[in-house]
Amino acid sequence: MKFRIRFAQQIVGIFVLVAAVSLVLVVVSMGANQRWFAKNYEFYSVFPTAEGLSVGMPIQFKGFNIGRITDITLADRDEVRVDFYIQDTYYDRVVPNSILELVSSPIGLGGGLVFHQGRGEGESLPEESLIPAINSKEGQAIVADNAVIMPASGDSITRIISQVEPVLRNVNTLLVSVDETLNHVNLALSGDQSQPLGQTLAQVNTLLSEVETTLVQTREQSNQILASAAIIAGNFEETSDALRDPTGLVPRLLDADGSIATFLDDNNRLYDQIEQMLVSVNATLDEVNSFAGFVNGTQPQIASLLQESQAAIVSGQDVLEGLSNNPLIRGGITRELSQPTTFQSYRDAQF
Amino acid sequence: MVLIERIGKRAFETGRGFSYAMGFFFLILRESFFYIRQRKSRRVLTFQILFTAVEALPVIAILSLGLGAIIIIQGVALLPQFGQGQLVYTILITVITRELGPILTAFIIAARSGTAIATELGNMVVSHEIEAYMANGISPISYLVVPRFLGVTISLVLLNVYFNIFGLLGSYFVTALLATIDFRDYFTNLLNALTVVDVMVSLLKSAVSGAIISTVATYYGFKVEQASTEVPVMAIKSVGQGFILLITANAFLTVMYYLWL
Repeated sequence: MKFRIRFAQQIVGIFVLVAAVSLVLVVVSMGANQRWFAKNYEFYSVFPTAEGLSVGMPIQFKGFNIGRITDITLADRDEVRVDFYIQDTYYDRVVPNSILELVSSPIGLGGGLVFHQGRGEGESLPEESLIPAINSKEGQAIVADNAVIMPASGDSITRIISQVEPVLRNVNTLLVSVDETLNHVNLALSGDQSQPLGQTLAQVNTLLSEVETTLVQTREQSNQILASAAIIAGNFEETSDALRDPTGLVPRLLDADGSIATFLDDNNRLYDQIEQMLVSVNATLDEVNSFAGFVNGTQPQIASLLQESQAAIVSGQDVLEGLSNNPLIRGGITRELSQPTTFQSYRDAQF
Repeated sequence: MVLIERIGKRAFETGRGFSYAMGFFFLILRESFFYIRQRKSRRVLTFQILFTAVEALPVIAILSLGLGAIIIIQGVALLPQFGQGQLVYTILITVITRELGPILTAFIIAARSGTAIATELGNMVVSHEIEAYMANGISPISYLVVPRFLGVTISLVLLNVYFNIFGLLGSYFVTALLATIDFRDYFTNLLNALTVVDVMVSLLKSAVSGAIISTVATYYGFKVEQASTEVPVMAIKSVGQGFILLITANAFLTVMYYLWL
């Protein structure tokens, strides 16, 4: 009798047993891996739009997935309510003043929903609490109070991009303030305002102080951006100097008394590394090229924005001059020395 | 008039055949219930599983290994270029576990065991063995059909589990010969992509496929009337009809899956 006929019961038994055990093992592993029996803590947030968000999207904290979006609904006042959970192992990180940020790179690299932990000690937020989005009022207030730990972005380009948005917001606030100031002054001068001129001037004074604060903030943020840009430009400058220097890298390499023989006698390792570097440089240049395309595309909008800002500032200057010449204001407004810009266009850079 | 008469006759025959097949299927279900409940002899069932599942395992293993390895190699090479490297696990689950695994296993068993069952029963009819059983008071449904029905259905479910084991895990080792993939990463991502619903749908499809193959094969086996030349004709018909029903049932279950989930 054939072996498999003789031991049919045993063979089939083993066959069924292996399949059953495998199935059970897979199901148990799935349960352990997908945390079926672990507790999740539910929270919610409010975003202005659902663009870039999706159900199941992970929530990241320092590069770790600490939770997921469970539901996205259009709530009252056309706001988007995002329900999500945080895993029990990371629940102690959810302290007051924590915020969420939807990160998306304009050049298509990276992105996701990032959790920023609130500063200081404190008990974890209770379940079903609101964790505000960074672009909400609550989130902006937390950021302004410096009550949240916001890690700096890794690369200069992302840092510049992240700084441009607050600058534009401040410029917008500045323009609105200048517009309000002009309205107040116009109303006062045309006699359409019922309140006394002194009160109007006091309001103008307040507005101007707000303008000054905004200008200071804008200047600080602009300086940060310019500093980042200056670092990049400095790096380029150092590289180009090193290449231009007649006593630099190339003559030293070609020096007859130098150690070029040692360099070359290495089984092509040096050339392989140079080749790898050239490939990397090529890839980097491609990325720079695509970024330059993006910048070129948005340049007209930035230019028109700057022109409008300049016109508004000139108008504001006229108003300030008029106010300083007004004998009704004692002492006037302290004259500020004009600060020449340190910004140079990319064309002015030396290569 | 003759054409209309023929069409009408064909429609009546089809309708009668369908109602007979449905009655046959419900009779098998009823007898299967009694078979399980009365704990009748398991020897025929064991041999059916041995012939259908254990002997088909090498074919299933090679097929699933190849399919899984191709998906992993292509996925690992292509998907990261679009920033969608994680999708390889979803594609593996969708193809191996949910869609192709059950139907490919069913095709192999239909071609391999379906024909064998139809031929065996057809030859028994020709040699009057069925009549002999009936003369001795033994129901051919409960004695011949039910063990084959249960055996093929259980075998399909078991083979689907093995198809998944070889397709999802075995193919990793094949791919590891060509590319470096961390096993822990692979296994963790795979388990993250796999859901209970995927497993249940896959097993349900296999069970339904097994029921279809065995019912169609026994039905066409008993359809042989007198001549031994009818046996291969009915075997071919059982395969053709079985394939059509398998595709239809799988498509129906897939549509249900996407409609409900």
